[in-house]
Amino acid sequence: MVELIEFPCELLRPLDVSYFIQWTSRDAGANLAGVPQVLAPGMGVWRVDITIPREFDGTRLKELEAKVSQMRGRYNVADLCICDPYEYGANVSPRQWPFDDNTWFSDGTGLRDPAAGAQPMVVSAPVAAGDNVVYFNLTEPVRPPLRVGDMFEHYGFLYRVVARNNAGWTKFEPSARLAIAADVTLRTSPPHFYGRFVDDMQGQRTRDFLRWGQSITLSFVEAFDRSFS
Amino acid sequence: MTPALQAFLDSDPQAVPLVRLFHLNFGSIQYFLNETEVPLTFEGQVWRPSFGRIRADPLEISGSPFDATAANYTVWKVDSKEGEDLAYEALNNPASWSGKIVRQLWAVRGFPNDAMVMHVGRIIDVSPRETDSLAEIRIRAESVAAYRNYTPLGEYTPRDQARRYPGVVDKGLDYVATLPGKKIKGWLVS
Repeated sequence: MVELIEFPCELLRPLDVSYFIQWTSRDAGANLAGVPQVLAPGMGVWRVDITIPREFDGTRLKELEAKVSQMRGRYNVADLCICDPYEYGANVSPRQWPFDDNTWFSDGTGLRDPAAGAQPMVVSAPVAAGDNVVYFNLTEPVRPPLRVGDMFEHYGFLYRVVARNNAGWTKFEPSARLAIAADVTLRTSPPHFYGRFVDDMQGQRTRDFLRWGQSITLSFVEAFDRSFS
Repeated sequence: MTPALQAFLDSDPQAVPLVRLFHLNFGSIQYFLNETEVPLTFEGQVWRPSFGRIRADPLEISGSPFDATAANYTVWKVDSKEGEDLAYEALNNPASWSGKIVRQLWAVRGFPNDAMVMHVGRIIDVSPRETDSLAEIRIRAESVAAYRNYTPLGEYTPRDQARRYPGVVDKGLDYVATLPGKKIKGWLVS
């Protein structure tokens, strides 16, 4: 049975990252006018590349080597933190609470506590699998919902906001892999991502950290199975 | 094709959101798969995401409806439980796969009742392929027209052979005629 291997957020301190949805299309050739036709089934798979800078801390280096070994090549699935300096976090939208009778201040704000993290992103209406739109009850601008480009996560599946309006309508890509129930809280700070190594050789060069200035890159692709032991 | 779909295709000939659907009918078990990562509903049926478990070779369809072209599929990279079960079944109980129907449909997102059947075939041949880095099953599905193209009695007899290759002495088919089953057609069924 496949295991979910958790990579602690502080273990992978990325120097450089790439969070890319790889779309698939087919080419139907060009017509007589030279215009090509594109056939697209509309499927995209996340590809995540994380470049880690040099690491001279022997304990951390060994921890990383242990995690890589646990991955068993492409067999197991990694639970990664998506490190994004522009994420939807406490600095953008600190957590706010209503009064105990569930009312807000007259301007719509609540009692703030930045130490409690970001405002929880609670889904207000269910999303069917394959859909691209989600609704939130947060009110712009006093309790800002997700911005264009923000990433969020549901059950290890990563999504990126591509369009929104002030009424809580939010469009995202890629299409929802699983149905999202109402009242579910989406993870935003940081979102997590379940991915497999792109090949069995990932992480082979971790000892290169010990060489001066050497960084290494780990590449992952989205994993879809969710039955972990 | 409905006029609505026709109009949609005409509206932008450069980009078509086309999804391939695969219906594998093993009798007791049926799989409705689409080639994407999300479930899709077409023709009143939910087509489950295949996550790459099925690939189809390009169809080579000529203008003639009587052309017997086979469709080739590569199914279930055998790294999933489902794939392992099916591979085991295919290798140990060929009769459960042989002659079963595989349909390939093309559908356009947003037109759930307009899926086009591109190929219907019966599974004639199943061959597992396994290397140190690859494990998969190849399926060849002969179109229904292939059955029409068999010799009238559906069998290739010693007489057919003698007529097609005059002067060649080959007693193989005479030997086959003495066997209890007397038929060898496509993939051997135990």
